[in-house]
Amino acid sequence: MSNVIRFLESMGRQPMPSQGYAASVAALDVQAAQQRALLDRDQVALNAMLGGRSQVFFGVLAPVEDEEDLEALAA
Amino acid sequence: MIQQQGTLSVVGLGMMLGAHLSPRSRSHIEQADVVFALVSDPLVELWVQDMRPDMRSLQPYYREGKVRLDSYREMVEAMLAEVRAGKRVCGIFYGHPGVFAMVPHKAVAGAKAEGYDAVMEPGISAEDCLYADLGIDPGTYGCAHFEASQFMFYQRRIDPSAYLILWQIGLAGDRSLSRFATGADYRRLLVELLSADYPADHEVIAYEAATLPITEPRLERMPLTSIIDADLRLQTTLVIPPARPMQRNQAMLDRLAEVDHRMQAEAAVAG
Repeated sequence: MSNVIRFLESMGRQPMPSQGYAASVAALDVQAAQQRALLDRDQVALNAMLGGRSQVFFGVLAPVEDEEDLEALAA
Repeated sequence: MIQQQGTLSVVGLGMMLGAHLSPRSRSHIEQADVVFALVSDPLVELWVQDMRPDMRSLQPYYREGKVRLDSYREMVEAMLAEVRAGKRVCGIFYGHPGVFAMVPHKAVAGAKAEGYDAVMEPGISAEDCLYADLGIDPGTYGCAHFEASQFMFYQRRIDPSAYLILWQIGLAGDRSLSRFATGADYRRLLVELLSADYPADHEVIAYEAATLPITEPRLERMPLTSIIDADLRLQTTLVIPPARPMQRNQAMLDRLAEVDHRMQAEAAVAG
């Protein structure tokens, strides 16, 4: 697991006081750019550096149950 | 050698990386032979990939221009094919796999219909986070939830003395079910629809749950008409607070009082 993801997982499990955040990031064994992105709380930059998808779609609900309903809307 | 009977578990990952995964869901993820995942944040997907490097993302089933019902059917079929092959299959979904989520419900129903064991493990949904982040209790005035397009396609009864919450607002009005976003022209019609019950300047909230423990949820307040040009994405939920006080149902209160009096009279006779 990447150290950045491990750090985020650890923060997810246990909230960290904001005054200790910068010191915790500084102590991480990660690239300087990743440290900067963590300090800036820059989700987009972190994702780009860690190789995450540039775009996700995740809607798993449709307003209609099936094709018949969909066709009825167009009629 | 006896072939193992396939099983399906669909589990909720919650909304925030590392924060919401239940022990039972984690156990399903760790013990499954095959793991599929659909999450709402690419960093969360990397986290899942770290837990299960063999994880199969359901992302490739989406394509702009492809009817989502086809994507959903293919996702369900991909999971069920492995169940039929005798595998312990786990489908990981962001939030709660059974809340505003057609695919996990259809997968569980499909597996059960074919005689396989299938379970759904709840997760912390965006709805749960919304109540916490906005300080809303759905029990205070009542709360109605609709998928935004469905709200536009069908005639629904709105109660403006309760909260109204519209999901997938970024896709509002998409009759093709094949777009990744709609825009101002569609939301203008939604505002028109809502204007029958809400004043144009009624304050609404664009809400997005935080997906990382280092980021904040989005709680952006704006007048109703401003949603036309606002930045509303797939993950945005529109929260419309009550616009008027609850109206007493005097006829029902009178009838309840009659019942109370009758019960008291019967108790007095019996006593």
